[in-house]
Amino acid sequence: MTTGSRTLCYLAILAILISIPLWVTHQYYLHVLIIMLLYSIVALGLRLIWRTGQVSLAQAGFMAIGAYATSLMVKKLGFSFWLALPLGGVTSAVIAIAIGIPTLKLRGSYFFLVTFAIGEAVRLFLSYVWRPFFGGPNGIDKIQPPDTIFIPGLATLEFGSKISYYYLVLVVFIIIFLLMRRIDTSRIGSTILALRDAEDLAEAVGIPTMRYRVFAFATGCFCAGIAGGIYAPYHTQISPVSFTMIQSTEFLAYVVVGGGGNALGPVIGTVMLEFIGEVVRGVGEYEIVISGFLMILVMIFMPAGMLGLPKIIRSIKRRRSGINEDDLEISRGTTA
Amino acid sequence: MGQLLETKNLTKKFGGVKAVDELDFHIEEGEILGIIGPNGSGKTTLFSLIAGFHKPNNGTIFFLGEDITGLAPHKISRKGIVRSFQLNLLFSNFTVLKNVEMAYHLQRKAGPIVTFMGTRRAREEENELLEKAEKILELVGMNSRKDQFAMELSYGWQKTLTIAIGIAADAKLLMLDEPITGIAPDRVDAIAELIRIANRKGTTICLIEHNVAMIMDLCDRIVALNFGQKMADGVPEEVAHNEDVVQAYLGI
Repeated sequence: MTTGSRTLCYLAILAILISIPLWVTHQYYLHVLIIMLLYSIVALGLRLIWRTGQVSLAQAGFMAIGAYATSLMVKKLGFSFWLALPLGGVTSAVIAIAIGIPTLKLRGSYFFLVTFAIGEAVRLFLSYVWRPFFGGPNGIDKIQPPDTIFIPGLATLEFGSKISYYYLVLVVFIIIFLLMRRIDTSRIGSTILALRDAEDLAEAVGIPTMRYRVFAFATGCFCAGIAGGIYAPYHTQISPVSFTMIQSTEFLAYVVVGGGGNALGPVIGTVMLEFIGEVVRGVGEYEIVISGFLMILVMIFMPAGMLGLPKIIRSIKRRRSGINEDDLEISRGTTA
Repeated sequence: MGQLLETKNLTKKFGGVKAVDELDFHIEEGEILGIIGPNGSGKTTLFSLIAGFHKPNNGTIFFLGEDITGLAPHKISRKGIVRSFQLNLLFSNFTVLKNVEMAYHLQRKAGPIVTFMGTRRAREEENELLEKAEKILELVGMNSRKDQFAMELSYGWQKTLTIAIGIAADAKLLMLDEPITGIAPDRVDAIAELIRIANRKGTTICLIEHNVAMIMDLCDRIVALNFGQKMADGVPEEVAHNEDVVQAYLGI
């Protein structure tokens, strides 16, 4: 694709995304779309961590931190939502840095286990510590919608309706998506990717690998925190059970199924799995079984996730026509 | 010639085994130093200690007179010590060119944030570094392979690439761990020549190698290790005829 036609393609997608509330009038479908975009933000963050070669099972926990921080700043400190939201994300990031510095030295499954513990610790902390403030197992309720924005002479943006939340999430999603794209194409992105391939070599040529890992972890958790900050007023109430381990596993499934190759991967994964989730809603808690099963299938047959699909199709076509050279690229299984 | 690097009383234990045992060792500026010794004699551990990948239990390492013991690997790298790894450790999902470009991390003036903003100066620097990387690839004879992924290369070319990365990093001291082990005989001379070129450009070289013919030919000085201690130290002919060395190698 030329740059021109790519820009056109993005503009078309943008136009569709903006116009969605005009033709999706059913409130429930709009709700599903809001959740898809919201979870995509978390998945985009998790993908950045994933690219350093680490896996985090604490993303629901960091979403909880963002949700609680934002809500408490609004409710107890009287902050404007528009200030509390970024601060909620920053709270998540700061806690991620504090946890990351001692633990990101651990590699592979050990860090994974630590994040498992962090996710649970956050949930238990919010359930049992300082109940008058955090609200215990009941959490926080009656969370007000974001403050109305006045743009003098232009518009008054009020929040509360599904449509308004849709646009709020869409704007945040686009900002995070573009940010991730920018990181990918910059030197930070390629350095992050280098860590996963050969961390020792990266150190040997002078790359402070810990700093990049902490950066990726903090940025990923910032995204989760921001998503949590929007989630809270959208649901008007939050409690520790909103942010369980199962939710973290789902986030991981979004990234694995979609693929980490570029920023579109986690978005595709989220939309796909959420869509399947809606279709099979009747089976209730077995939903997690389906996404788990899908994750296994994808890991075996499509190590690069949905993003690897075009390559697989191309190779099948070539094999039919007798050429087999693309096989190498598939077996490489790069999620890069 | 002054001393570039010096270790005093350097000791590293793994459990009860002393991999490096109270070693006093030095590297002179501008030389090509070979380290030989039977398997398990502590050669690679010594590299890892110098480059900061292991912390010694005891002893000190001085580089240009400065104590660098226990610094993080990337900090030691910034001081000018770059090592290669035995097992062809490469950025395998990157192209050959990108691998070499990564080695320029140390030489960039633009910080990560400036690069992130994509200012013109940062982009110009990026282009300059790419050009430099291509020159290195030309030097090592890999220009035609620059767009291949590192993991697709044959073993020999991967090995060549690890050396190219080492050269690109523009180190004061380049430590090569078995640069020609497993390389086809007709490529050995080319790699030896590469090491000489890097050396002539002012890089001090320290290499571990089992290929005795190559090391005798290439090195100015050889240190032989056994059980983490220095067994012999001198010009190649001297070390080759050292009784202890012959014994250790033949296992008598």
